Amino acid sequence: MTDMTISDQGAVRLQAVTSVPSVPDALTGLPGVRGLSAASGVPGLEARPALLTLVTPGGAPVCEGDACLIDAGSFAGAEGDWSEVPD
Amino acid sequence: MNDSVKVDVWSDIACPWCYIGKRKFEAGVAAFGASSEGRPVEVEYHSFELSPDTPVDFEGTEAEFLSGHKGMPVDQAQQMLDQVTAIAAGVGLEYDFEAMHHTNTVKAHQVIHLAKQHGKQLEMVERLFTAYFERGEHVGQESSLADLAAEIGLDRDEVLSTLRDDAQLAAVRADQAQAQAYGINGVPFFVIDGKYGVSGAQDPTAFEQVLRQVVALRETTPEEVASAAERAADDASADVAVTR
Repeated sequence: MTDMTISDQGAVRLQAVTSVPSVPDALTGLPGVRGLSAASGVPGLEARPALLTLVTPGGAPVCEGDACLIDAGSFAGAEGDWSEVPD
Repeated sequence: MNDSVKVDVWSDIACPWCYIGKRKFEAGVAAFGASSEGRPVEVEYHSFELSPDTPVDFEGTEAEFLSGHKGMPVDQAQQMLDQVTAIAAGVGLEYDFEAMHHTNTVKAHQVIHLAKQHGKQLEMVERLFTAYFERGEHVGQESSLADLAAEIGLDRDEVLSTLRDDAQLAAVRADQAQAQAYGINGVPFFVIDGKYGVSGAQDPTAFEQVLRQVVALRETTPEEVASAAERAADDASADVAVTR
């Protein structure tokens, strides 16, 4: 458990990234490069320690791939789970 | 340690939440700056292509593109666009999906990198966002991008030359590689002081709180932070066990 409270209101937390999915290197295309180590072998890039990431209740809207997610509950009169909106 | 706070932002011009998030982030930075702990915030934008296979030109409305791409009725697509438009209006943005030119953004990202070399990156990002979401201007065609860049003071011929030669493409790809290295799957994504990540179009208060906390955390290491959090979690677990 590596969560950390950063708000005395309890609304915002930073959470350690303990696992980064294995992804192909964008420059070399080599498979199996793991997380932050991918940057270490790329000229001009800096290998950095794992990020502590913000965690908020319900999350915040993001675009991922060709889709965006939005909290339908944030609309007046709307209820329910996350729904998909366009990018 | 530098007194200012560095924030690296990964975003895509064709990302509605990135522009909305930009406004919310700016509001959070303003609140942070006005607080007693406030200090300068240095912002740098980085490239993230949400849909790199998008064509440069699409004839039709955004609702029609969405309908075809997602396999949903045009009316349903339009309803979703209306929802986003309403949220954008809440932060002072006037999204116009009817006028939007859906396009590929890799050239726009190259212009942003060129603008950075000239110390005009933030102006360029803002100009491209408003061009795409509010003014129905094309941000995928080279001539249009050159016009937009010239508006903020870049040399039009240099922009055209850069785009013809893909001279900033390596910089775009390096940003994308860094995003992968960080495990960033969605945007907007904010990295503060190179250590702390914030995902999504958070409310201004969240950005303000994070900036304040990051400044406070400069006195400690991430390992100490994680250790303290782990102890707190253990204490919470112990409390739960006691109350059973």
